[in-house]
Amino acid sequence: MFALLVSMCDGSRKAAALRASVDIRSFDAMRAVPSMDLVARLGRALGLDASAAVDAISADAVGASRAGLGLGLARERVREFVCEADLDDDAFALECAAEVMAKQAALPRDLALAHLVRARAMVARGAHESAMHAAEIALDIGLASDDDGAHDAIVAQLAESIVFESMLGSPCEARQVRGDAATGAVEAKLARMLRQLLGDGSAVGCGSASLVARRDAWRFARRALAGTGSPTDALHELRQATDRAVERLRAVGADPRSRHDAERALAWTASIAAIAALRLHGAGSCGRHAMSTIVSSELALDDALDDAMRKDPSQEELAVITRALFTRRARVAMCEWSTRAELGEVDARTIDGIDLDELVRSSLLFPRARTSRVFDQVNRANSRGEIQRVRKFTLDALSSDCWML
Amino acid sequence: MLTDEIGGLEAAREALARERLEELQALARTYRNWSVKELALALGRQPGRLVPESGMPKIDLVVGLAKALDWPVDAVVDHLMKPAGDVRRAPIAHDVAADYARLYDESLQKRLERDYAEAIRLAVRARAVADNPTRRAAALFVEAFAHEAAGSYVESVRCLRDAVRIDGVSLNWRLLCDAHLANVLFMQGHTTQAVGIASSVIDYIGSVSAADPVLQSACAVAHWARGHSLRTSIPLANFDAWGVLAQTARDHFRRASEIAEELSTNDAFSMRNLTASTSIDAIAMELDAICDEQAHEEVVRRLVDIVREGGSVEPGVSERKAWASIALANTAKRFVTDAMQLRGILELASAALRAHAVATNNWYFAHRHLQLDSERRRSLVDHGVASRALDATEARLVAGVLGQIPVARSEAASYFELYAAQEGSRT
Repeated sequence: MFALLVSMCDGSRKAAALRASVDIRSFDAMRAVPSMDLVARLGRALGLDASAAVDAISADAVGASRAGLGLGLARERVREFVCEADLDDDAFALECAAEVMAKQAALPRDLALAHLVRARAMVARGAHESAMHAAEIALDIGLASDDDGAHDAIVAQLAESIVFESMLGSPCEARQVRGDAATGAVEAKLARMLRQLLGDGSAVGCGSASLVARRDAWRFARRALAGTGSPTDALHELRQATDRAVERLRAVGADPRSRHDAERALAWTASIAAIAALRLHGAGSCGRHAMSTIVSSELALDDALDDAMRKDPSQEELAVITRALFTRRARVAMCEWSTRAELGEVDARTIDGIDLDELVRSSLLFPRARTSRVFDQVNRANSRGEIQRVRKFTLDALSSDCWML
Repeated sequence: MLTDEIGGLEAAREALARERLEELQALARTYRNWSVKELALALGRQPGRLVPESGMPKIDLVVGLAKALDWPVDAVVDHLMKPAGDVRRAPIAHDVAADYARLYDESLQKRLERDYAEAIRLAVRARAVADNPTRRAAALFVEAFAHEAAGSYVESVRCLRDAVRIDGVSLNWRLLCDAHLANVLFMQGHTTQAVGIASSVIDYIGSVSAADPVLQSACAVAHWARGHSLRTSIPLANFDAWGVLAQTARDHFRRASEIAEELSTNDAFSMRNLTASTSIDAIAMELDAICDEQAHEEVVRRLVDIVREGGSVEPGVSERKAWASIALANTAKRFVTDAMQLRGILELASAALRAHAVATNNWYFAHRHLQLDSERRRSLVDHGVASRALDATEARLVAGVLGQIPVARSEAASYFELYAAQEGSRT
């Protein structure tokens, strides 16, 4: 960047240093890890915003990690990255991957897959309508492949997440808000495609324990929401599934990969149980069971998170390894708040710092939560203004898809 | 005295920077449910040294914080560096609500006169006196337009996002802002976002029966943005399977052209707002060649003619040449097999793009020029010929592209590598 500035100053380092108001000696000393201020000064001298200058400088440091998936990655590696991000419910990584996949598309179906990845990211953010729009674009371009098992497997995995998570709906609303007829038609098309893909067996793949566990939990939840049996029995079944996931996590050995998979299995099973409970809390007389299902899911995830944090992993792992646990934990917390709001149990005057932290976390993960009933009630009574501040942060950071939020 | 004053300002700036950094670290801890120790571990610092005295962290800390928050790096820097308070919204004392229309029109006029700084100032003043949500959004829209013309896509996106967040904006203006947002996002390289927003705008407008010039304009821009996003998805090699998508993109361009034609008869929405529409036939030729491979020679010949044709004062001619250059470069890469002919065509396209980019601060064209130019430079180096030295104009283009086109930052290292050899020839 300094070289670029030198070029702008007719090759003079002195003139460049003067223009950027930096001392050449301190610049040379900071070459390895410059301060933000120094980069901002260089950027300003080049006519760049500080943010753009730092972003350009750090592009290599971020490398192929989730915040800046490089364009040079092989397609197989990107697919693997998407599988992981899907299991971690990682919206930001999925959004980055969607742009990369669109640029790497060698066939129209690759472009369609990029839009399906974007739809998956929107689902993770709780933006149902935007998700269905993106899925519709993917379906219009055409996702089908005749010969690529790996492509079919990832399409099936994403479509499954989108279909079932859309069925369960947003944790920010106690009542399931259905979209219009067009949205319903897209959901039906996706579900049909998923049945076809899973029906011929080619897209099932090897299936990690977490994939199998979440598929089972979705099936339990679908049966429960279909209203064919007793809601209380359905909730009982879901709690048992969570208990089994907890047992599996306890029994798993020291191998980090198996442990991570068991953590993901628990994260998904417990959160699916909680959101099904949120949907069922008004059915018949199972309000109490619903709330206890949500609370037991939260406790199970809290324990697992505490255990995971005690492992003292390396820096990169610390940021990634517990992602599924903490994103799904925030979802479950939001389920509890939504249920309490529906039951009229939210008293904004008694909300403490821990509650506010939980709401802040949910707001950062689900921008739409800001318009929910819970936030509306807390906002009015929150004299400390944390929620207002978070509103600003979520708009700053998550504005990549503020459309329709 | 002055030294004291500067010292005081510096201290206030450092205090603000420290406060912002602490705020973001607290947010990261809340978001991740981390203790201070865990945050310190993730950021690679001692728990007691998370905030430097100056408040200005080193880059690795900024990157670590962005990862911890799941934010883009630039969002973190933006928060740490932005000035205290929003001074831009301070209303000018003597402006009143009745001045809105005058300020709005003057802003548009100044943009046409290429006095972008004044156009932006007038738009900001119009926003300050706007007395309803739609007027506020419209003022932001013209501000965004002026920023875009001045070459600041980042600011343009900020204005458009602010506009679509305002509650109570009328549907037509909301959709116009959305459509333009899709277009600027496309220019910044965010194609999947652009397609999503443009498609939604087209769907919404399809369900609205009223034919209003603002809605029509939104529809034209949405078709334009969607057409381009699909066009840029088509690879330069092995594109046989992309015929259907090329056809779809071409249909979007045709629809945009039809609407622009209808709007050109409306005085209030004359062609001055849609100079890009004069380029549609040129850019659609790239798609014609994909849909009908027999046509590629004719397409290349016609595009070369457009790129070579003489200048004119008529608005849109230079832009038409730039779009034709992009279509020409892509078509040539897809179909021209003669290496010398291909090289000549790419040089022609690159030069036309450079000229337009330098004259208009259009970083989308500048980015395409740099891509072609860096390919050329590499081939020259491969053939043992030294590349042309980077001049001040080229350096400005590199800086502008890195600043305004976020996707280009993934190529930043290669640009620096290509151009860094020029450093220090004179001290």
